[in-house]
Amino acid sequence: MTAFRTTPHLRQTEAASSRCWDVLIPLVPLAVYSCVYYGMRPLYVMLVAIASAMGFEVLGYALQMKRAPLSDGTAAVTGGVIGLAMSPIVPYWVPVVACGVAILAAKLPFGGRGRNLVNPAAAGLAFVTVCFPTQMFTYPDPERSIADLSQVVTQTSPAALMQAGATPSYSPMDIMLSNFPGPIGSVLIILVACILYLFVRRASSPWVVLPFIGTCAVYAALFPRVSGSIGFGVLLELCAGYVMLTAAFLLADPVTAPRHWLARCVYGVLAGILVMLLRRIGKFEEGACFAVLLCNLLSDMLDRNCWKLCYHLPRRFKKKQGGAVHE
Amino acid sequence: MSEPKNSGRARRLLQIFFDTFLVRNIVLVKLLGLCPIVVAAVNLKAGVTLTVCVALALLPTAFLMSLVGEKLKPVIRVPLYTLIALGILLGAGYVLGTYIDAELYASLYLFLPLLAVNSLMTYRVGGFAVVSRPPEAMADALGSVFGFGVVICIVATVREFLAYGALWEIRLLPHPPLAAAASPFFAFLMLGFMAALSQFVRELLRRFVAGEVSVSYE
Repeated sequence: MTAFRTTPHLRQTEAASSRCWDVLIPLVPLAVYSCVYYGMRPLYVMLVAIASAMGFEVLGYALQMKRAPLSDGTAAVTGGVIGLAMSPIVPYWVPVVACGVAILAAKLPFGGRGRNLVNPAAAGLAFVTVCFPTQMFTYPDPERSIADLSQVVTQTSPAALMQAGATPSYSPMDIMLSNFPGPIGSVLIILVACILYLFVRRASSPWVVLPFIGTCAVYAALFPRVSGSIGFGVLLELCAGYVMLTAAFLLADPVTAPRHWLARCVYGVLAGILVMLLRRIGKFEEGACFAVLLCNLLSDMLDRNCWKLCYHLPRRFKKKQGGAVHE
Repeated sequence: MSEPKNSGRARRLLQIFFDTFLVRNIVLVKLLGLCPIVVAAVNLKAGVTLTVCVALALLPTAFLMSLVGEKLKPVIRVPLYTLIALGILLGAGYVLGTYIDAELYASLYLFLPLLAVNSLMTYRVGGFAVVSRPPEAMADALGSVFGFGVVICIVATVREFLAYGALWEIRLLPHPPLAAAASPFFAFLMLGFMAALSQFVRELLRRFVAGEVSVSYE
């Protein structure tokens, strides 16, 4: 009974590297697609984030007088995901700070790759969300160039509009193609393809992702924040902010998500409810990173209890038939 | 009562003091008294005030409990030292609010009387002081006060500088570098890193004393 005493860490660390390269591949189309609207800057933001995450990893391991295992790709994935959640016009130091917190505060102190208690990218994003909300949530108009940052036309994002009680006026096609002010990696069509790719490559678990998206959709349908049809409201809630990005890259991280199928379902549902509640009552327009952090901390408890539930309950019913119950 | 040699006794008292102050720091190792550090220590003035109040409440209660603690049943002892500490802290709060700095008292407000039921107080006074003689209890209480004071003042200084760009309410920077440093999460982060650093230094010292680490690595 010692198997579930700690967080559900990775057991097969060798598999971690191939898994991380599988996660890195879908980051590329998301960044490239964003360049269609905004020019090269989203790509630079991503590159700065990835490079700084790897740099902090090297620094952290150097402090321990060890060589950083950069080839496993975990630091690059952390940096890439942080980059995707940023605004295209974010100052470059914001992703650098986020990566610093992610690697030096959330990953390495707990033992590095495969041993982190919470998702490093979520921790980094939470830190910059709390500390620099203005820089995080200032988005440019996607129909104008951002080549000259001093003359960028900023727009209120759909998430902020919904938080203020207004209904954004975008067509469903615009929403699906991310033709609205939002983070770099918010294009629904590519994100859905990424999620499917990760399912096929077994780098992500449908037991987490599908209940999460389902819960968000059901919540949005039951308690709509926008006027108009239910379908439009659901689409808007899923595409605004970085909910789908969370579903694809943050929540189903094999290190911090539970391992039992039932625990994964409960974890996904819980995260969905928290994300939507944080949007409704939270201070910030997007609080998915906080929901991920909270659920990460609960994943061990969920794992243990769901395992007990599925393992012991059937045995309780059978115990009168005799025979030893194996631990 | 057979009195041990003076030097041996002084050494033991010093050992108790440094044990609570540095080796097994009351905050960084035993994780006691976190609440005022995390919530109230947003400027150095508040940090120093809280340290003084802890000293005012902890030292007399620890002394009293070391004298009479074992003669009382726990059911009487626990309310007694809590009430004594509470009385001292309410008095300190009144003096602070009326004669010293009403604004500071307003910012601390609930945290002063709350110190009376802080884990730091109950653990040191109700635990160590009850089973120890007055000198040992005082050494331990002093170590606790210093251990708590040093940590809270470091946290408060860093937070005041980052969140307000100031030190002891003297403005040093025109704009605060990190306004969110005043939030509790920042103090938790700082405490985590300080605990890690203290553990690192302690381990290094232990190895150094044991002769496992030489000055050069090769």
